[in-house]
Parts: sequence; C-alpha cells; structure tokens
Amino acid sequence: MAGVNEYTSTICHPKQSGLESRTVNAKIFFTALVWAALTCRPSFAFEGRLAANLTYGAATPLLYTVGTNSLRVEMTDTNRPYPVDIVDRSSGELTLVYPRNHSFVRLKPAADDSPPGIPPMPATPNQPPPGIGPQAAPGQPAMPAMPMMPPPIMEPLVLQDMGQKTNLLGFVCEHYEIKQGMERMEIWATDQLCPFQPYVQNEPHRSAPRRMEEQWAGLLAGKNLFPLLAVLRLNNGMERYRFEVQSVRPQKLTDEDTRLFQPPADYFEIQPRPF
Amino acid sequence: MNMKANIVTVAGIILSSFLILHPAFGQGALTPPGAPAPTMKSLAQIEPRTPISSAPYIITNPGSYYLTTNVTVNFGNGITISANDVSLDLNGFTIFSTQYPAQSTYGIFLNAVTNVTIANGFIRGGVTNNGSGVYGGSGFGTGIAPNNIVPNNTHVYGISVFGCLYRGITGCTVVESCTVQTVGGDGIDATSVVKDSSAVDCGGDGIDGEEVFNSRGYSAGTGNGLFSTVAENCYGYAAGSGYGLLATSTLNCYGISLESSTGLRATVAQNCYGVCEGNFGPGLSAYIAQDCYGLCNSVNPNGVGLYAYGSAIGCYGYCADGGIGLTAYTAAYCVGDCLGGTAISVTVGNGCVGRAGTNYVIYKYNMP
Repeated sequence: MAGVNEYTSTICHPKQSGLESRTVNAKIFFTALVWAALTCRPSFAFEGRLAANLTYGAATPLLYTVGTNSLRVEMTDTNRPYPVDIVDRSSGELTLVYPRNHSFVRLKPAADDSPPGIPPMPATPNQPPPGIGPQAAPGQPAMPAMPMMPPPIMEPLVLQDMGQKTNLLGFVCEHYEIKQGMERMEIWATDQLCPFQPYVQNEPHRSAPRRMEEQWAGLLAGKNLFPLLAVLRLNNGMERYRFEVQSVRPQKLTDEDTRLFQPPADYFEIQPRPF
Repeated sequence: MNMKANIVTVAGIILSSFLILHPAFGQGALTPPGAPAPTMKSLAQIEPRTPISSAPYIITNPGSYYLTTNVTVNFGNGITISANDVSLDLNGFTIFSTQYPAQSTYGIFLNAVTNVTIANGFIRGGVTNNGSGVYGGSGFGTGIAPNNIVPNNTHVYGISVFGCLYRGITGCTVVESCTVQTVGGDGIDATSVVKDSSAVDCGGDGIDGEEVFNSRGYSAGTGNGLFSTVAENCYGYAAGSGYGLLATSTLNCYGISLESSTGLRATVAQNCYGVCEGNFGPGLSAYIAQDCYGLCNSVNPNGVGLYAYGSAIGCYGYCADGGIGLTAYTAAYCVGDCLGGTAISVTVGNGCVGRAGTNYVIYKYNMP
C-alpha cells in the first residue's frame, strides 16, 4: 500500500520528480498491483453463472447470476411462479421479485435480532436416580448399567474446518463440517467464487424456528465461502438435504445482463411485512 | 223478594266500584301549564354517525362513519382514513373497484393513523388466479392496509375481501372474523392477533400473525399456509413448496403441504397433525412433539412422517413406503410405521413400537 500512496503522490507532483523517479515509482506500482492480485480474495472478482441443484425432497434447479456488485438467484424449470432473489452485495439488501403478481419487496439485511436457534437441551446425568430405569427384580441378576447418554443434542452450530482439500469443478475446495444433534452436514466450499447466498422463497418471519439447513448459509457467507457440495444427513445415514453445484461458467456480464439485477420496471414495490 | 235484594246488591257493588277506582276524579287544574315540548329526536341524535354514499371518500376528522350503499371506484382508493380515532362501519355494503389492470390501490387506506376500527362489509375486485398461481385482473391492489409499518392499533372485524392483486388485509393490529379470498400475495398479515378468520387462494402466505386462533390459511402459490408465533386450533394448507403451517408453538393444529415441504412445522407442537403429500416431508416436524401425528404420503426413500429433532412423546409417524415413519432424538411411547423403510429411528427410545419396517434405536428402554 505504501507503494501505491507514493505513486499517487508522484503523479500529483510530476514536476518535482524526474523520469528516473517516475520509473522507479511505476515499478513499485506494478509490483503492488501484482501483489494485490495475488493476495486479494478472488471471490469478489468472479463474474458469471452457476447452476446448482437443491435437493430437499425434490431436486430444485437453481441458477446463480453473479455480478461484481449484485447477485441473482432464481429457480428454473418450475411450474410455479417462484420468486427471484436479487442481492446487493455491498449493502446486503435482498429484493424478492414476485412474478405471481408483478410485485417486489426489498428486505434490509437481517440484524442480530434474527430468531435464535433451538435452545440447547439440559445435560443428562450419566446414571438415573435410584428406582428409575431398568431395575433388577429380587433374586434376579443385576441389570446392566445404563449406557452413557449421548451429549446434549443442540450444541451451537460451528463451521469446523476438517483440514482436507479437494478439487471440484476446477475449484480448490476445503472440507467443513457442521454437527447438531442427530444431524451432520458435510460441506466442500471454496473462497474463489463469492459469499454464499441461499435461495429465499418467502419473507422471513421474525420468530420462525430455524433448523440447520436455514443457518449453515450464514456460517459460510461469514467466511466468504461458496459451497460446491453440501450434504446433510441424519445419524442413521439418511440424506435429508443436498446442495450441489453442477456447473460454473465465468463470463463477463453484458449490459443486458445487468438488467437482471433490477426488478422489471412495471413491477410494483410492496412494503415488507410490518413485523 | 230475593230478586229485589239481588238487584240492590248489584247496584251497590257497581256504585262502590266507581268510588274505589277513581279516588282522584275531578282533582287538579284543567288548564295545561304550557305548550307541550317536542318529543322527536334530531337526525344527529338518532344516527350520530357520518354517512358515506360515494367513493372515493377521504375521512379527515375523528368520528364514526358508515356506508349507506354499495360504492364503486374505477380508479384509486375506495376510502382513505386520514384521521385518528375513526370507526368505519361498512354496514353490510361493498366497496368495489373496476380499475383495470389492478394496481397499487386500496379498498380502505389507512394514511398514517392510529385507533381505527373497520367492520361489517365487503371489499371486492375482479382479480383471479389463472390456475398456476399467477394473479391478474381488475380491482384493488390491497383490501385494507396502512402506509406506515408501525403497529397502528387497528381492529378489523367482519370484513370480507375478494380479488385483490397484492394483499388482502395487512398491517392491522387485530383481525377478527374476516375472510379473504383470491389475492396475489399474502391473505391476512396482522401485527398482533388473527382470530376466527380464513384466507384462501393466496399467492403468498395465507395468514401471517403473531397469535392466530381458530383460523385457516391456504396458499395456492409459493407461500406458507399459515405462519405465526402461536397457533391454536388452526389449519394451514400450502399448494406449493411452502409449509402448510409454520409456527413456534402450536396446539390442536393441522398442516398440509402438497409439494416437498413440511406439512406442519413448529418448535413445540401438541395435539397436532401434519401431512406431506409431496415426496419428502416431513409430515410434521418439531423440536418437541407431544401427542402428534405426522404423515408422509409419498413413496420416497428420504421421506419422513414425523421428525422431532428434540423429543417426541406419544406420537405416531407414518411414511408410505421407504423412508422413516418417526425419527427423534428422544422418543417415548411412540409408534412408527413405514413399510419397506425404517419405522423408528431414534437415539434414545423408551416404550416405542415399530408397526411396520425396521427400527434404528441406539439407546433402547422398554422396547422389544
């Protein structure tokens, strides 16, 4: 950064510097540029389209259009007029565009008053009180001891880096894991795209209960990660939720594409719900 | 002789009756004290309310107002309330809009006001659902709505809204005994209480409120049937992938989702019934479920009838074929039923039974 400042200063006062000085400063500037290109997060440089499948029961195809300042998420191949999400990446404002009645609503980024997750269960004693649980009848052999109870089921959600890497669709992905109760989510995510934005179908309710599949996106976005594969399973192995990117197509968006980041001109803005 | 005596007796009785029944006969002045005062009431005394006989109409003063006839607008709002402390009685009449196409207009518009009561009538437009969840036509944008988003101490009672493009009744404090049908967005949004009401054929959520009682919400589009913090004796139906009924605490409720979402979802559910007709479910999902029934009617290896991610007590979970009937962290006195799949999948099970299918129980008590 010092080099950039020095270069700026030299340009502002060209007559006070000789040609040699300018050459040196230019070298410093380009060095700084290269350094910046190498060290800056490439996630903010990605521009293009991603196709993904969200399998939550039925497989739902999603299309992400990623611009430098905006993001659009929409459901494709559907027989219903599902809303389109438009996100202002700098402010975090989410606009839900409703084709169903040609309207849209702008939602400010959620503050910290978002509904809490499920409260933790109280710890369970390892042994039951006397007289509770399996008891040995008189004259019978003693019952086996109660097994150790599992840990409390609703520990706080933590995005745990598992220390493994792989390559998915040409992107280096790190392996993360989230556990809660009898659920475990495996995530392979990269920082080479953009912070994750889940598809939002309806205006959120302030007191709605939240499950893991509604909280994991925030954990990823907080670390500027985008998942290429995420699978949520129950402890018996059954898969309950899957997000999987099918293709990533970097491309420079055209002026026409940038119109996708605005609601259509003839759509009416409705106010968010008053609670 | 006897006859003569009888005649004398009767005559005596008649004469004495005059004396007894009219003790004040002939008393008091015959001249009246003055001209009699008028006894009729003024119109203001008989009907101390302001009549409204045409629309658009703007209320600018506090007071009581009533419709005297059906009114129709072909452009703009029906009635605008721009004063606090207003009671508006539609008196059984209707506010129509013929504006085509429907735009951002209101049957009754609350212009930054508080303390308003609206009752007894109809707000009607011509907006229809094309069958795929896309709404259009003539009419108002919204039936009743404020322009401010703060709670405005507004009570709406006995109002029926039909055929609006955006919302039915929104932003009011208490909505009671109201019906909404065929609106492109949310049917009823209340900042506080919704009671004894119904919202059907809504493109967005059917009913959305903090406390909802004895009500029915039906989303024909992509929203949730009924969405609240507390729901009691309620019914929620989602034709798309929204939740049938979504609440923090539910009692005696029924939720159904036709696509892949959850029929009834809550943090705490008691005496509730959830159905998923789509391919996944769960039929009912809660942190704590007591005396509940969850049903996943589709054939899907990942379908779940009842999913209690905390505890299930006295519950029944059914999955049509494949998948899991009932899954919970702890389950007591529950029944799971899933032919060709897992009947019960729990970490801690006590006194539970699998009716059809296999069981997956890590810590098992009082179970075969």
